[in-house]
Amino acid sequence: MTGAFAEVTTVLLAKGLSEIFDRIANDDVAVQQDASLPPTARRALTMLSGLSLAAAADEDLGASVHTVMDKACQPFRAWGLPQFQPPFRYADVALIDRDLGVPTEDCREMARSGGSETAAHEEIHHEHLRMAIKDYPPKERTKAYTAIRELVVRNPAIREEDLHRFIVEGGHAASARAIMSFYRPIPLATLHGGVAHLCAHCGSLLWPERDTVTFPDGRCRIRQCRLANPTPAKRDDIADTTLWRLGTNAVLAYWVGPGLDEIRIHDTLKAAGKRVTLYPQADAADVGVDGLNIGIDVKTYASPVVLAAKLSRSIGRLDMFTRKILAVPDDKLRLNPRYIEQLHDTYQGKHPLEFMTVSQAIRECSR
Amino acid sequence: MRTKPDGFSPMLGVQWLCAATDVLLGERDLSNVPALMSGYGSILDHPNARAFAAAAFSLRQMGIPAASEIQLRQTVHNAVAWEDEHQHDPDYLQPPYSIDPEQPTYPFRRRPGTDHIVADMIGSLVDGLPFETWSIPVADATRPLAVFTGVSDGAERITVDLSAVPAPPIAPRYDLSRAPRGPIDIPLAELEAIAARLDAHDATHPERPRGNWLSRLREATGEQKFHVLVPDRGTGLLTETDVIRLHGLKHLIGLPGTGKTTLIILLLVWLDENGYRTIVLLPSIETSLNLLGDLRFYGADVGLLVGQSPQTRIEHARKLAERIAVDEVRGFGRTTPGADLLALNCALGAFDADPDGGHEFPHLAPPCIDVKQRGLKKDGTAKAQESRHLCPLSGWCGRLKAPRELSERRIWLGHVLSMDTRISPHFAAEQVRYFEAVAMTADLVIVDEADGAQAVLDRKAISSLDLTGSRESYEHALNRDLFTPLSAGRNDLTASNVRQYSMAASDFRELNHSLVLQLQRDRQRNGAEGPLSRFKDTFVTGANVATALFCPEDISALPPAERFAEERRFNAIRAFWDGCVRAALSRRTDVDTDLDEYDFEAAPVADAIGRTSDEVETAAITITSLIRDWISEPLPTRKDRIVEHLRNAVFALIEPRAALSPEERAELFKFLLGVTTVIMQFLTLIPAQQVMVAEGIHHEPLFRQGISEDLARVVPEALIGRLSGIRFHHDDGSGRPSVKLQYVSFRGAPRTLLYRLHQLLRHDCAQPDRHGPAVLLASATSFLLESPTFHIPVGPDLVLRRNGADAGWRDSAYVFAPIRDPEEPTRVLRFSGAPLGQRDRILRKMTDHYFTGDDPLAVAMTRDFDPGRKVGLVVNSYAQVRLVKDHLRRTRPDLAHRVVAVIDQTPPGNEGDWITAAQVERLGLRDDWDVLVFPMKALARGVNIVFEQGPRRRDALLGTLVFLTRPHPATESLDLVAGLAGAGTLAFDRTDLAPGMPVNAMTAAWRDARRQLMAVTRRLLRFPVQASRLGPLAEPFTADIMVDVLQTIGRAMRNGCKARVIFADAAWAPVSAGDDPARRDNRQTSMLVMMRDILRARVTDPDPVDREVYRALYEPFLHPLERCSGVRFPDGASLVDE
Repeated sequence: MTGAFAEVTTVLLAKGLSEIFDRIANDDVAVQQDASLPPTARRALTMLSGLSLAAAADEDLGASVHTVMDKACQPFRAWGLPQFQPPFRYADVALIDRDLGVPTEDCREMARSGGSETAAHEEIHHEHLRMAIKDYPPKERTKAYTAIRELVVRNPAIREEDLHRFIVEGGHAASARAIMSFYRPIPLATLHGGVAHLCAHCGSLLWPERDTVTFPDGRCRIRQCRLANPTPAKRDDIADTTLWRLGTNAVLAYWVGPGLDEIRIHDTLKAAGKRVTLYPQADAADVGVDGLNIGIDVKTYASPVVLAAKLSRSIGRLDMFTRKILAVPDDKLRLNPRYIEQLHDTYQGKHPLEFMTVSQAIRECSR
Repeated sequence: MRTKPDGFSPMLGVQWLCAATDVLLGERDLSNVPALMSGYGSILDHPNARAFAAAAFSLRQMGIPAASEIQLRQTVHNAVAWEDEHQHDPDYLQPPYSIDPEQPTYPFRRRPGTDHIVADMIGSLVDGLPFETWSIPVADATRPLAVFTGVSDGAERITVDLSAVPAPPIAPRYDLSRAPRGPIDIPLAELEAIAARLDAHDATHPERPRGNWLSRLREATGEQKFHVLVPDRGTGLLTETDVIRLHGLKHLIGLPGTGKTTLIILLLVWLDENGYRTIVLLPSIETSLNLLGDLRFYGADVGLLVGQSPQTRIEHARKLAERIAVDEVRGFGRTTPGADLLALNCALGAFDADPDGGHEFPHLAPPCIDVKQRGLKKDGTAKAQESRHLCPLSGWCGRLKAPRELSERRIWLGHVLSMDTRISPHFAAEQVRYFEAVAMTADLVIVDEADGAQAVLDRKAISSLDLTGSRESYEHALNRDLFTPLSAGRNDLTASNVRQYSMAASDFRELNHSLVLQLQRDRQRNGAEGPLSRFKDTFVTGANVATALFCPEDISALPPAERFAEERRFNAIRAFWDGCVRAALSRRTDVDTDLDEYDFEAAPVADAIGRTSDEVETAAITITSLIRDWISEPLPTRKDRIVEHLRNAVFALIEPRAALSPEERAELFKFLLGVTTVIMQFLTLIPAQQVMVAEGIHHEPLFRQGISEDLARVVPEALIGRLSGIRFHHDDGSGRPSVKLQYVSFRGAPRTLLYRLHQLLRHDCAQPDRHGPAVLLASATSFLLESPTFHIPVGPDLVLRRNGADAGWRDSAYVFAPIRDPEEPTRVLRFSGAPLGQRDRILRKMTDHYFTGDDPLAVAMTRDFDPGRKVGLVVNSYAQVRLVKDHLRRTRPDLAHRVVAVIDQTPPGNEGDWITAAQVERLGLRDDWDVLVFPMKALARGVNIVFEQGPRRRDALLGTLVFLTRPHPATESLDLVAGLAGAGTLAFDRTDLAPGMPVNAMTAAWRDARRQLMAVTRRLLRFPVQASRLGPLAEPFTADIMVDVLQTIGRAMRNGCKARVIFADAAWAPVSAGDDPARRDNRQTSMLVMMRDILRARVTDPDPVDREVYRALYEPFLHPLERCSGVRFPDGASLVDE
């Protein structure tokens, strides 16, 4: 269990406790361990059990929400778990104000910072990558960032020796730890009788399905890959799974999934002779065309309204580019033909954005 | 669970009965077997039957049903049928005994050349049967494992990978070889030394309330606060003792507040310090947790004995949460001692290899004993198939902390029902339950509030549930918990198990309606004389309807051969019919072509009913298919037509009773169909309840099964035998005749466990020379001869008497104060016995009486009797609590918040004026209330509402109790039946049969006792429980209620305080409530008079010791009751309310 696991546990715990508190405030219900316990809290508890066992602690700290409530009134460093000792970033955080029986400000802030467990992991990955890049000479940083993100997006499952070769030959020793943390051993749950199946579309794995008639080789877990390619296809079998690594769920969900279209734009434009860069300026956009001329960001939000609201608040560093294109996967229009229109209508930001599908963006920039 | 002897086949169980009666008793028939196999101590410890005792113990452990004539008949027939079927098998071995099934005594003879087989059989029986051992291996944490979500939840596979974490510790095992240490002598002086030590420990923890232990034992003057008295039956006196000797079975009694709890806590610390293993059984897990917190604080080695089924754990966890949630933060940032022992989250979930897989890890029903892994072959390679393993985290995880710790703890605290829990295979090599482990290894068992424990055990013999026709019914609960929420928008309940349950529940509803419809129609058409009226208010089962439909009126009148043939025919009909209905219900859309999936075989059925196998097979397939159609058909007319076809098909195969008219045949057949389908569908829903509780659909399981098979095999059968089926009664109360269906099952006499625990395994030769623990039954109200439910007919051996307790209770005052009906001032308000439709109005008027005016009576009562103490309003149910409280919120919003209501579920927006029973004790710390409204049963035992601080610390906080309603159980309550059955069974178990009595005379005595008790219970089962219709049973009925009333009053007498009790319901003494001063109440009209008479009879008991004990116990109640103002007693002893 990595340091990230401890960090995510505490973030989820903060989130779970905040949810419990909100339920008390709204419905005046008691803190219960039964089916009414929010799933985030339950998951945080079980992860706490995992940390306790990993530390060979005498007590299973995560078994009861009541005993956790009690612990949470003290800073993490006093919980008796080595993973929570400094330099653990939240070592000094107490989640509950015992006297008032409310979440502390730190707890609320931690809860806000993370979405789901996977989202919390993603933020940590991002931060690990940014921290790792800091150790590169300034000129190399942008290039290194792009190279590493690209590696991950193009290789959601990777042979371990290829990963090592990338690190060594690419001169990424400084970020080796971060890069390794984006991957995990092939999970047992992905195996089909001891063998893993590589997805022919995205290069990730096909997970076993109960419905073996429809999915004899399994099914890809990456939503964007499934939407773009409704029929699963197997590329290869991986017989010796111990020699391979698979991206963490956060990497698959937040980097690889959206990255499929980013790669498509990049590769098509490059083939058309354009000067394109993936993740220019350490992720200022997903694809940059002709330096800072065009910046393309791919967003895979299901709701145009939510996406518009987000963009209205901020478009991040996309404002560095002269033309700012916001591209959504083609399949969004299959489900909602008015997606672009609604996005356009509800966007209220100050920056002029061009909204289009990925295919349109490719056509637009190929001109 | 015991191992079965080699060569034992359940179908041939009767051979073992023959061998045992033949060799051990020299008998040649089975006529005495039912009495011997019922497990009564009076018979098996009798010199003339003792030779059979060890064998009887083994035979009962083997599960051979022979404890009644009906069971024995079935067992004999099974064996005979088996022999018939298998005699031509190539490997057939003739069993040693030939039995004549045609004679009612079942004579048998030993076949030549079988002596050695019989000798082996007897050897196994008298040597005893060791416990079965577990054979589930612990999963290897270094290799992959898998768990599955429940079958009904889609049986999703979850892969678990523990390889990255250090090996978890190995689970400790319970040591069954430990032997009890024998008699325990406890010098009282040593308890004082302990009290001083506890006080010193308290002084080092100023943040905690002090126990003031020494001052609980002695006054400031040095005088002892209470004395421990021992009856001297020789002199008829109670004499003081300075050593408590615990050995065998002892009964300790002491009034509430005489120091019983103090004594028990000091005893426990002493026992712990002296290395004794003690089990303390308390009224609830909440009380256990309170005591656990204190004992842990004082450093005692204490653990919690608590049921481990997922649903039991969820229930306890909910009650714990309510206790923690007592203040306005509702448990946020709070915990309580012992919370770690009721944890629910499963640590294995942390190692789910795919936490985002879309499945939900089954935390609330975790896979502790069902982790899947491929075992290893001898060569170290993995086997092809996965098999069941134990979770490798059990030696460490928090969820199993309580049961894990128990194996090493010296003091166990828990509830008496927790004893009937199997020790998890993680912690014991043998398949053994806690009560068995306790009987084998503990030094002492203390049962606090033993009379309450006895009542709880009695009730466990009966499981009952209204199926439909009442607010408490299962059908209503399904609507409330499942269908209404679903239709009102909770359609997020999409789990497949919920859907499956909902479909089964909706079928159940349909089947119920169809049966109710038939009963209603029968009554409309035929009044009280219809074909179904014979079943009214009796146990109805498929079997007795089938008997009425297919069998001759009285088969006992038939010649032996015919009787035998008739019995065989009936068994075959039952197997056939039940098999068809089960096939139709469980496989709804199948179309069968053969009987492969039916649970009977065509050939023996055909043989018994005189048909060919082909005829049986064809008929079964047709009948089953028609039953499927009948269940699915929505149109009533077509449904009726299907029943007709079905009836024709059944009658073509099985001739109905000749004497029945065509209409009777038709009605009985339809009734058979209705009853069988309702019962079977109900029984399929029951197992799913547990999952539905986990899913949060039902708040608690609605139907609870009785005692475990293991417990039933070490206590005697109930004298009234085993019963199960449905009852129905018509209710005309509201002017619209309604029908209520109730499912009831009755099994065993669990109360005898308390009386046997000290020698539970005395006939078990697999545990030779093993002594049992000492058992101490303690209570305040466990000695009242007239009460079948609560009386403990041993001792008393120890009596606690408070010094100077007189001072308090002599000033107690009881008042009968009926309230004038403001709408009709010539009348008084009578709640109990009033028509249902008027009760709510009456209760509101009563409430008004106590809460009207500038200085309402209820508030004034906090000042005019022992100022500062509060007022309790006692009602019968939570619904009545809700009514009183809601009424006050409307009529006295200024006062309502100072009236605290005790409720089962607190409503949203609660500001502390609604609490659960688990939160009541904290009231002592609050001063924002004056009046507590509670249902009598919710707050009786083990709940102390006392001043928590200040000069009156530990005095009862309630000073005045107002009984707004006269307590009365629900008319369908089976508590009195359970109490009478338990008391009757216990009495026969402990009776001394004349030393020279031969075994057949014992059988006759057993039959006689059975007949007498059956007559009483049948009568009770036939009619609703109404005081006015009970006749001679009114006395036990009143005595049982009185114990609860005295327990409730006892809450106001803690620490020897005086109490004021007001009986407000005119039903307490209706004649006295009337205007004619010449008329007086008597035992028949007034429960107060009956209570007084019962107590009077006790305090003048002819036995001097009993008399003195009764006086010590009941004078504090009798004294004020005899002077109860407002009651015109029959003998003129009355005081008119001035």
